[in-house]
Amino acid sequence: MTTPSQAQILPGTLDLLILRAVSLGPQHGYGVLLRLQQITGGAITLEQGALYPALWRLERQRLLESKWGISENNRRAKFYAITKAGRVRLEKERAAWDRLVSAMQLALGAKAAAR
Amino acid sequence: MNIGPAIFAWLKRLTGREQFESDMQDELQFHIAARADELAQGGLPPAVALRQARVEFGAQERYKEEGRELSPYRHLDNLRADLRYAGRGLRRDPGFTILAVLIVAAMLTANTVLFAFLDAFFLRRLPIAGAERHFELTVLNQQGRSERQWPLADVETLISSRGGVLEMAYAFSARRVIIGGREPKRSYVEVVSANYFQLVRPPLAAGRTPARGATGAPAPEILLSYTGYKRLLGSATNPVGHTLIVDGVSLTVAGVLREGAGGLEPVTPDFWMLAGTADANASASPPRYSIGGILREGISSEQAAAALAPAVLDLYKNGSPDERYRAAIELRPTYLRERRELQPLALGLLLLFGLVTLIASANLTSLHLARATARRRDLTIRVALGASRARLAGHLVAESMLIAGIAAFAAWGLSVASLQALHGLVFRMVSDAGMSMQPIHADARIFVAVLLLAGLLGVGCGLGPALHSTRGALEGALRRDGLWLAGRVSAGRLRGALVVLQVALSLPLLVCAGILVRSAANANQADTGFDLDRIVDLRADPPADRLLARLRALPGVASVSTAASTPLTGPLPHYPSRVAGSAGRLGFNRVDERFFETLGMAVRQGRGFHAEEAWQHAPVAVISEATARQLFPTASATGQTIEFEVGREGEYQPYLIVGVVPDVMSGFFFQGRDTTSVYTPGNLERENQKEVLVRLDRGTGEDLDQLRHACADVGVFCEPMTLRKVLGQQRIPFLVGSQVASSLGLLALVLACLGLHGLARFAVVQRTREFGVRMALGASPGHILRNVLGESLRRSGVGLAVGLPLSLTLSLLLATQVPFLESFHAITYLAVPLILLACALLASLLPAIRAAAIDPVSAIRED
Repeated sequence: MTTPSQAQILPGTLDLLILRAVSLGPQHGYGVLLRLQQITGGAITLEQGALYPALWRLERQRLLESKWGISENNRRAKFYAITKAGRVRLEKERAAWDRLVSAMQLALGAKAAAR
Repeated sequence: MNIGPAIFAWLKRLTGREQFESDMQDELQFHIAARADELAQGGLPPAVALRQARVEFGAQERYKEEGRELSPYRHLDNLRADLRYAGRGLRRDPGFTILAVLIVAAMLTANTVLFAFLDAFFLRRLPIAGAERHFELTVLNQQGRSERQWPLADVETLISSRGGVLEMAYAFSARRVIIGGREPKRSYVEVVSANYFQLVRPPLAAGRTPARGATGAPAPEILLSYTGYKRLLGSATNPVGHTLIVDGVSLTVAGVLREGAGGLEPVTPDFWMLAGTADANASASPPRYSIGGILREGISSEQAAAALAPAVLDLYKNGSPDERYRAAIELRPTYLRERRELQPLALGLLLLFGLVTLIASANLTSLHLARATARRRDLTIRVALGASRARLAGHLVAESMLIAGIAAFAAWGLSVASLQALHGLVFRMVSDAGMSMQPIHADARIFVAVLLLAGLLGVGCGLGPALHSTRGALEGALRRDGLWLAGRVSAGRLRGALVVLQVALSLPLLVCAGILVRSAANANQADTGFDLDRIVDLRADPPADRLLARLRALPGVASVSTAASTPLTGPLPHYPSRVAGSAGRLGFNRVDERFFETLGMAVRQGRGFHAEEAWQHAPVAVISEATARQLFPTASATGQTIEFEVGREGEYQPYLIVGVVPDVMSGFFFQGRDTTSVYTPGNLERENQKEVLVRLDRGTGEDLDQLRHACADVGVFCEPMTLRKVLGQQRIPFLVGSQVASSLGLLALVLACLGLHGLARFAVVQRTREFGVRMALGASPGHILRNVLGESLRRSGVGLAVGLPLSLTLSLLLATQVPFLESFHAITYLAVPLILLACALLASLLPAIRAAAIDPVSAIRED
């Protein structure tokens, strides 16, 4: 269940969030999830498993790359790192997102004023 | 062990698919374990923490499935799923599966056999280096008359003049010889120059190839083929070093070929010997040789012919000055490439097999269509569950591929068996004569071709119906009588068109088969004008007067005669003639005074020959009735004079006609009785009068044995054969042709029946609702039965109407290629359509009964 303080991820934004989380440094899937919760202040939830098809898709698009390593708990884990193409995409998406947000704010603000 | 999963396991290992799966599993397990660790650190008991972590993670299988969709292996997965689905579907409908596999397997078998046959003789290169430059020499005169054989000395002259255009040239001749011993045998051998073996390099099982002796003369040696070894020296474990008496000359076996190996001809002889080895005693007058060889690289056949021209002109310098001779080089890189007379046969076969393929494809398409239509509901449900059209089409194509695959393996087994049978059949025909055929086998190449053809057929015949039915399914239409080709052709019309096509294609095939079978049967009743069972062609080698005397003394022998040409062994030679100033060409035979008596030809007018006329080779002649009618339509023939060009060109000798005898058949049975025949008297002393004919009182096997023994008594080799047997030998090629044609015809009939049955099934499935409504409105089951059968008959009728002109064209075409064929045979043209109609009726009977048993309520509710 989602509490009022938590928000569902907007469709199409999970990839952007993952790219952002991985851009801070190589991380395994669980680590990416923790980092997402951390950077959003726990405001965004998703079913944990849903992270993986997104990770695999980004890897297939060569925006991420992966290699097997050892986790902090001494377990074998798959670590994802952002590629050059991934960074380019991240910047593009971020700019697009910024434009969208400011447009939305403008639109919502104008509506309030009209009332 | 189940082979399907095993293959997939192997494919998985091969493609790294297993690694992909285990990595995915490890990654998800790491996530759950890490989360469980964290929850346990927060105070939860480990088991509870693990359960909680799993719940938070969500449906692992669903995410894995999404992962697989992203993987490079998803096509393999889809294929596996499609094939599994198809396999289950086929198991559920064994009737359809068996029908479809049978159709494809039959078609593939027919094509494989044809392809193997064409490959063996027309496509496969000769087993020599530079096969594409292998040639044979022909000399042509202005009139287009060709010569391919010359005496050995001339051949050697021609070969030595080859200049820089030929890499090598060899002398070659095929000959029948007599192998002496307690039981003399005739043998078919090839006589070649020594360099032939350097070109062919035959694979040897033992010994070596014959060589020239120290003096340069050919060593008295032979090289046995494997079949020759088995036939002539089968009892010896190692035949090398054994001797054979060949035409009276003692020859030593130098080597033996491996099984299946042969020379450059489609027929392998008993053995090879060197030119000049046993020529002196050869039964035929001076042996003649042809010239083969390899052109130098970069030399065209025209260049080579031009380079050989001077030598050829030199060879013919004594010929008529009016004639201009020229050399022609014919390339022959395969066993039978340049034999033009065989090409119509090959083309005809290709045409017939093409027809079978077309019929099979039409059948398969209709079967698939029937099945896809029957399953439209199932497909619609799958669409509703989210399957894409491509995925659905994939399922259906996978089904046809699976059928094609099973059929390909079945066809492979069938082809190998049929090729063995075919080879056995042909082999039996030629092995008595001391020959063996080049092996015809289906190899890996042909199997790949079969698989490809099966695949093409699978996709080709599966795709149309798949697209058709998935289109209907996507539209969500549960209407039975859906539209095809974007609404332009209704399914009913399509069905009708398929039936028409089916019948229209089967008809010509069956008619041609019928005509061939009929014509082969005709040979049995050929009107020869002879008593076939009592007249014996002695085939004596060499014939001699002492033999004739010995034969005449035998009890049971009514008459003995000699002739230049024996009946039924080929058309009489035609020579230029003049009658009352007008020139022509007439059939010519030289016979002794007992010929007409021996053959039972009653003299119709005048008289036969006297003994002294035969001794003196008197200038008198007896002509046949047909010749008399042709030359002297109004007057009596006896007492007239006829002139023949004998010996040198332009030199005519007059013959006085003394009698007229009935027409008989000298040549091939399909040519009928001779149109012209002139007999002149002669005896064994004549160079060309070496055939011996015997008339028996009765015609029994013992009489033939008695003749054989009488020959042996006087040291002559004989192969007595009744004229019926001689006629039988003429029929062999036609029998083989009619056997192939009747098997193809039978195949076409079975295919047509199966296809019509499939279409009738399809029709009933499509019209279930219609029948339900009709029955609800009061139609009786009998009415429905008649309706279904009537539709099938009507459409078959249209098919017959389309097929009839096709059949006529094809049979006329066939008749132009094969001389004796009847192009129109009323019974065949009557029987075949009736058989096809009966077949259509029978094929639609079961579906019609099923239609009549439809429960109207459930049929309507189904919609």
